[in-house]
Amino acid sequence: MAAIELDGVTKRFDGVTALQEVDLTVEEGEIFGFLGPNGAGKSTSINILLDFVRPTEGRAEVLGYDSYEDSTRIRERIGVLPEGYDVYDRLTGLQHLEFAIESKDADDDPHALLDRVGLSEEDAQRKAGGYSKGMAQRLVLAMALVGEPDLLILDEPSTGLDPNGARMMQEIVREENKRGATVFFSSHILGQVEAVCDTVGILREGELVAKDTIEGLREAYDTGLTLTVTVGGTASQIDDGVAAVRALDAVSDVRADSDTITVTCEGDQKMAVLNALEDAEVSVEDFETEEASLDDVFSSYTERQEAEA
Amino acid sequence: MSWQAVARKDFRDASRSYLLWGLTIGFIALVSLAAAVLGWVQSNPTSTDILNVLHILFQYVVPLIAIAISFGAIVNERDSGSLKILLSLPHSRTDVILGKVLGRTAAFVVPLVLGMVVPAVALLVVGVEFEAAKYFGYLLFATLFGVAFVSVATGMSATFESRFRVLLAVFGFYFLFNILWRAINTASFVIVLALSGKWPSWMPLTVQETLRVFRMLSPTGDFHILRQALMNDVLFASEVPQGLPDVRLQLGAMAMLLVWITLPILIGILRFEEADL
Repeated sequence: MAAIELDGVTKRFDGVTALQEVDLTVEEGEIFGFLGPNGAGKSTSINILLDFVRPTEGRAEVLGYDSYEDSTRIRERIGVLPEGYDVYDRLTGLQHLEFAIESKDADDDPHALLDRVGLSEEDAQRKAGGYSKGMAQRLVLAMALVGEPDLLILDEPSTGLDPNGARMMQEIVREENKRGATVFFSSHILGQVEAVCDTVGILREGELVAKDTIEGLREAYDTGLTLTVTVGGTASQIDDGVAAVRALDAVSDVRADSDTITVTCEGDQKMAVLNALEDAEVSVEDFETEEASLDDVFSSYTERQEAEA
Repeated sequence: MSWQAVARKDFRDASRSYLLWGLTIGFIALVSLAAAVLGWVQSNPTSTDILNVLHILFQYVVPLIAIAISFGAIVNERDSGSLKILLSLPHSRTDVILGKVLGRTAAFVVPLVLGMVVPAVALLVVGVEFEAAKYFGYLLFATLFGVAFVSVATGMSATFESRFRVLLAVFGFYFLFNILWRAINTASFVIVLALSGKWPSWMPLTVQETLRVFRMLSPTGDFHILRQALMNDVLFASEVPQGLPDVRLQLGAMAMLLVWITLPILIGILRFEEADL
């Protein structure tokens, strides 16, 4: 059984299409990163899973239950960190936790959970209305962890968190996954997804444009190696060198200014480039290589539309 | 049960605000004011005399307070986003509304009861002639009357998406049924009579019966009917003197109040179940 299953889900709001026939399967035990720029439809997808909104067409299943028919049963077994929420200003952090525990009929120790997300005992006794965004985020994460959920749905979990908080979030995601929970989280920032996810899906303008492992995505969209060479020699020697490199098959782009040549080439062509330069009697003083980051992959997926336009 | 958790949280939330205690003090002040004013102009007023003065204020103030407590119940949470926290937990939307209406009812009833019981003790202490049955009977009817407005306001809070529309609908309801209703009744009756010279014979009900039904439709009318019967010692009595609401009208008013307490919530549930949040 899949943890999450979207089957031809389309959602239109007043004629505006937010999601277009999205099919998506998230297997049990996975850490799934749901990527896409703001406004791509990530939150709409999550809102459908939680039955906050209903699909115009298609259907969604969570843990084998229909997202509409069995919504309450689903929410008994999942933990949610929604997006665009607000805490109850007049209730303390501890009371929030107690409410979540009571609602889920669980027997967690609220203090232990608050401690786990880095809220002090003092914070716990304060009214949540005075919390910063980051503290509220920690509080709601703690509420999501109540009752050892089988699935965690986290919508832009790093919002408002400082680097320490983001690290805490990643640690908790890993720990929960190790315990056996499936984790589904959305982000518009690739770094957070790259660090913890097994699989990512990329959503762009309401359509799922890619779903693969991190490795798979990197391979499928190999933009190769960027080689920056610091060179010495006369201007004509350098021109010759550039021409020689440009003549190589595996090289896609060469740019030169006074003493550096920047080469984009396939991953295993570094030596060929350097040899070509030496043959042209350019002296290679230093070089740096840089692998295509997943950022480039992400951008190429999400920005392709603009390039086409 | 899930709605109980929501109700407890909602009431706890309300009791953390100064509203609840402010209201309690406000109700005590109203009753004391009525007693003081009456004590000034009349020697040895009874508790029932005080109630009669109090009623002039209560018929307008009680619904306003019920509305103030409840109109935000759902729409404020929808606005701020705390509804997402509530519905991320295993509460059905119906449970949320039932819990809310209970929480808000408690937040209304507790100050009202405290606000009338505390002065009652004071009246007993100073030795005012105290008619307990009428005093607490009136409290019961005022409570039902107020709860009907809690239900209307909460139901509308669940029905409309924006706070502005909720307020518009709730205050529209208040002005129509609490302020204008009697005038509309009288006016339409006068118009019909004036146009036809007499009550049209094809009407299934007589003029009196029609006016009674109209009066019964408004929660304020129901409150008046029940109060009038109570104060004149003819509540649910089989023999009622001319000019006072007979037992059929009293039972009708009671039933109608219960309709006002349940129907708006049912409509709110139906609308909220269908909505995209």
